Amino acid sequence: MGVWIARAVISFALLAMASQTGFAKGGSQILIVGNQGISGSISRKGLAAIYLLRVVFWPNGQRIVPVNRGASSALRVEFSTLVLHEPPMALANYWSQMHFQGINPPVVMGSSRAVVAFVRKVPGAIGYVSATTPTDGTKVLGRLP
Amino acid sequence: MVEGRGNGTRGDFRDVARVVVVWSWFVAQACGVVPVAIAGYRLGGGESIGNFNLAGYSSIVFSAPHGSPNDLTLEGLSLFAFGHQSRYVNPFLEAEIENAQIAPETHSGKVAIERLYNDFNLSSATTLRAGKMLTPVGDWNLTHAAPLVWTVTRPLATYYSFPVFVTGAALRFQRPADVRWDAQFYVQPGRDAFAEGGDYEPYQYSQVAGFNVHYGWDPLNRLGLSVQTASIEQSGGASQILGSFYGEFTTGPAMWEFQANFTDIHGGTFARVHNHEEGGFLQAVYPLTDHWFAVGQGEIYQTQEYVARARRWAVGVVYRPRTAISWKLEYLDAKGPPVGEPTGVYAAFAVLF
Repeated sequence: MGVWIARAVISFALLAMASQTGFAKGGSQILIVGNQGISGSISRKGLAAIYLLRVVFWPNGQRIVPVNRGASSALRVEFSTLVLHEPPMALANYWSQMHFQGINPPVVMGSSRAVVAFVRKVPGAIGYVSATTPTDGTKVLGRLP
Repeated sequence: MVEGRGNGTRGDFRDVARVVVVWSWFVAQACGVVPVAIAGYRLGGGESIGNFNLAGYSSIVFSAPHGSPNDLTLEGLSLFAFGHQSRYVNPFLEAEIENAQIAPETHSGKVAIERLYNDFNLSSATTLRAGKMLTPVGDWNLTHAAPLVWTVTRPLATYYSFPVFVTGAALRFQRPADVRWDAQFYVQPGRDAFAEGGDYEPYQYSQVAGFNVHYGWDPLNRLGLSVQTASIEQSGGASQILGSFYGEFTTGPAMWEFQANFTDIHGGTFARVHNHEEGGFLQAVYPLTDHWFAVGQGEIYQTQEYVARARRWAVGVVYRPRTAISWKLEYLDAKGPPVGEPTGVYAAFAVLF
């Protein structure tokens, strides 16, 4: 009986580890897409600075327009955890405070396709989408994780 | 923001017309008349029109102070608009209707210009602000909108006897990427424009100068230090220098906020008991669920006018069904001199739109 319990515990642990490494290997990759007018690539710290509204201009002087997904989006939870190291709810208050101080918070879009369409259209826009989303007309600036 | 929009004067005129229409809609909504929904509008996010964003907040407060009549007040209906036209044209305007009593009697409030300035982005790290603005003394003063703070009543340390507004110029330095230091210097050479003389400005000040330095190691954990000098109007030439240390931090799910001030007052001929003021508050917020929060706050404050210290504590609950909406209920116990709100029960509905 004891051996059976031990096997069950080990199997459960292996399953849990497998699911974690599956995400790390790219089962749920996120693409960072920017308007085609943006040059160069972007680091994760640079991305955090943009979404936390610390950096508001691209090097060419164009105003940055960050795009977020809806608060309940699983992709937003992943992005928020990976890049901003805070859950979306905690940052919602932060963005409201920034808005009250005259800094536009990230624009919210309802789907990855809507993010691509917005980024394609708006100069200076940057967003994140699931890896399976067609990104025609935008520039892929990076991949997460 | 969205570039290449311009169609000259006709385009600008259309934007202004839309601004007027949308603000009228906000006011109608705040008054409970909702004529039509605006496509794509999200509560709390304001409405973007061209390069402008129009937003606001409102708060209705029920007060039941011990020994005084209860009342219901529209504490604030604030509308703010800002735009990002270019690096050098970034105007901001906030106008507010304050303290309009609804019951038991009806009194119209007063309209105040809270902020009116322009930001000149000199570089990615340096901004020059000119006009009327909030002073960076503590976090609370900069983000004082009712839906963004956790209590109905406001700690004395966040406003009492120092200029909460200045009209002049401020130079702000911000290290952009991973180093999160901010510094700001500001000066008001004369008097405050559109001075209100209301609850949050018991004194008038002139010749204000100050600096603020702020460090945040992430968005929810930060510390700041402010130093500010000012001349007190109608005091026979008295001046004051204020030092304030403040911060916000998290421990597990709990969120903490504090501000401690020390003010030295010198010169002048106006009557006062002390030549200094000192004190501060500590606040804790603990999430009970995703939407319910328990709030506790304690404060001790020595003012210049009274021998005794003000000792205040408040406990309450806040229901936030979404970030933009707060329902608050709290009990405040206030001992000592009559500064700030008296002991009683306070409740509020606040919305950011």
